[in-house]
Amino acid sequence: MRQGLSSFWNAVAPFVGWAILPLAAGILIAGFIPQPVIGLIYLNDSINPYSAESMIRQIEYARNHPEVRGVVLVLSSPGGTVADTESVYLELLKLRQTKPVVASVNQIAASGAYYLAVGSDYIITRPTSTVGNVGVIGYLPSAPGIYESIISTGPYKLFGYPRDHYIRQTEMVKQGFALAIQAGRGDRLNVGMDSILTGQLWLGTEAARMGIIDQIGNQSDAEEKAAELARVRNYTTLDLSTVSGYEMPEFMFYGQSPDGETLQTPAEPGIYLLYIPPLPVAEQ
Amino acid sequence: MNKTNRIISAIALLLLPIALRLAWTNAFPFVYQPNVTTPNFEQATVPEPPTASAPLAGTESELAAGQVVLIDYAHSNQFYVNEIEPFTRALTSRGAITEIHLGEESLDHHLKYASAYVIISPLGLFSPPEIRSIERFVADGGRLLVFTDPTRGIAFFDYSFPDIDSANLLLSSTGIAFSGDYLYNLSDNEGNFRNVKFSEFGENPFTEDLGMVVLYGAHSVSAGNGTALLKASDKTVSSLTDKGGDLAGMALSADGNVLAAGDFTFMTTPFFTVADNALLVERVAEFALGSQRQPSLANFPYIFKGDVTLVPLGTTQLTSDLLYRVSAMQAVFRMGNINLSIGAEQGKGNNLLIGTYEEDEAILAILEKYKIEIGDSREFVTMPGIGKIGLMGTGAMLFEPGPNGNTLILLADTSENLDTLLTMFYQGDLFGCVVQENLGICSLGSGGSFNDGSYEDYYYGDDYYYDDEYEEEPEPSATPAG
Repeated sequence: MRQGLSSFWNAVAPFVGWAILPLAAGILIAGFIPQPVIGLIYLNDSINPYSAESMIRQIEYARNHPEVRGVVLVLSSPGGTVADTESVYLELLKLRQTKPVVASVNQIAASGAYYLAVGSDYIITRPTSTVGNVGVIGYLPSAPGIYESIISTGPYKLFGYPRDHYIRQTEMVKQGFALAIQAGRGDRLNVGMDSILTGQLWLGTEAARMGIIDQIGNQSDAEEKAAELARVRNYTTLDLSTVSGYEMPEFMFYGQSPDGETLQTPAEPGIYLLYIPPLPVAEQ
Repeated sequence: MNKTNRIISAIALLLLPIALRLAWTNAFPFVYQPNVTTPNFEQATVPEPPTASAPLAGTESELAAGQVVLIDYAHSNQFYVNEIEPFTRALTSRGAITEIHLGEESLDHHLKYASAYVIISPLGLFSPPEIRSIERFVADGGRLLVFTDPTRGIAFFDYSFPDIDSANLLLSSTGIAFSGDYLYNLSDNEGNFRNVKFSEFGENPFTEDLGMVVLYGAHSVSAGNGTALLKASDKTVSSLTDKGGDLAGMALSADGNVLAAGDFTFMTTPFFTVADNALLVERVAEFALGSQRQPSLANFPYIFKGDVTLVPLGTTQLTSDLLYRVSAMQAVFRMGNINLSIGAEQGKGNNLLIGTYEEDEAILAILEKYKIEIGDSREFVTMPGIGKIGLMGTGAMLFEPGPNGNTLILLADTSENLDTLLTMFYQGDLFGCVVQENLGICSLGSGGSFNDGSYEDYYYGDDYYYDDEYEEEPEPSATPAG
């Protein structure tokens, strides 16, 4: 037995220095090369200050971690506030300078959520996911007035905006949305902006024909597409919310009726990139 | 194997697993090529409202002095009167009076003296009698202005109570109809898709000098046989079909007396300052005050505009009873800002002549002028176009409109019945009168004992002072009995 080992060593020993050790070192180093990760950022809520903050932290994580080679934005959202939507959108554009982002729509990517989707490289939806509802919704501020017990230093200090100007500002927000769509979809659009700006919702199959999205598929297709764009294979996926270190607090984006029911309209007045679904038909 | 080869092999063996690992996890070519277009958000601008194409000419004041524009507020109208202040200002600057119809008095009553009737966003339906009154008003030359507004009905996601139902029911005889839609334009609008610009106009003096007007959320209006005044551009579409075509935002009826607009926001602040909307508001006011309505007995008792002189004819005396009626009449006139004065002769303006059928020069001249003949037996009076009428217990109203004023002649068989006729006049009650054009024949009771049921009859009638058990004291006689 001992003689056998000795003869094996004698046979191998000439190779140890110049072959086996480098190979072992190579294997060791290769082991340190991380498996590529396709990061997953989920948005299953309205876009509000907290969900936006959470997404931005995840985007930052993806940008700062080289193993995250691409990101899939998994959307199921009716949109939300304008500023938060734009904030996430701009972070997505920054991330795309180094890593591809693919949007995958589950149930719905309406209004602000579609705004985020056009900030990605590629949009995949299910056949009956709903996308679109491009536009802005807002509640006019009160007509300016003065009150005996409230002192302010200007006519709009209490109200923020002249009502007419507010309408015009809303139009400007829409223009920004349209610019984002044109920048994101470009030549892929098969319909004019007039059609898109009607605010209509489209099913995935219609949206694909119109160039509003790129492909019908599921989240796994989106992950594959992200990997393809990132030029990676044999990747793994990671829910970035689990590693971004941000705990999203409870937040009531929608208002509540006096009997405690959650309404379909935001709790705070303002300008929104939001789809508010129709109320159920009441018995008449 | 020499040393060099061994070194090369060693390096290759070192790199091999790394390369294999990289090849396993990466696809060729290895480099991600970003294709990111950042939108230039600075291109987005706040749209500015269009300015007027020409400055507004000053309005000639007092052109419509005394004309009353009635504004409907009795049909759950979805607006506040102060919202349409630019419109009411345009009316009052021309000397017109705006009056609100709250529904406390009958519409028919108000329409007797109004020049125009303005209905804005009515949710309540007009009753058949009201519709007939309005149709008569328009047929007589009164101006009807109907404004609806898609932002003012009560709308829910799946059902709505729009103002067009009421308006369309009212306008059915004119051929004008509102659609249950709103107009929009996504590419060329005034700050919002629902704020529609109009640069094409129907040929009509109403639209002269208009360059561009803007309606802020408007139903489309079908003009029928009338004129589409504000024609939508090709790019403006109806929300019902999402298609354009023959769409209008304002229409004029074929007879020129009915104006229908699918929006009234253009008459509110600040929207009336945009483009030529201020001029449009002026035109709407001019239209409202352009009534060609001729005063007639149908408008009784509102047949005078301006001060009136009352002239007793013949031997008519201003007795206590008659003075009472005249004072009541004066109070009624005063409520309409009209002064009633008593004169011995006809004035140059409006005149109210009162008298009985008697052999007086002035009265005979009137009878001759109106071809009224009194039979020799004085039992009948023959009226042109009517024929013989019993003289006893009847009275006549003769109305003659004139360029400088109108004249109303009230004749009765007796002075008591003249009192009754005057009462009917100031109470505005033609019940008991047959009116044919500008001639009215009234039943005043038999031989002057007619009781018209007015409160004066109650308070001043015999029953008020004397109860049933009261026995009239015998008249004192000049010579004591017995």
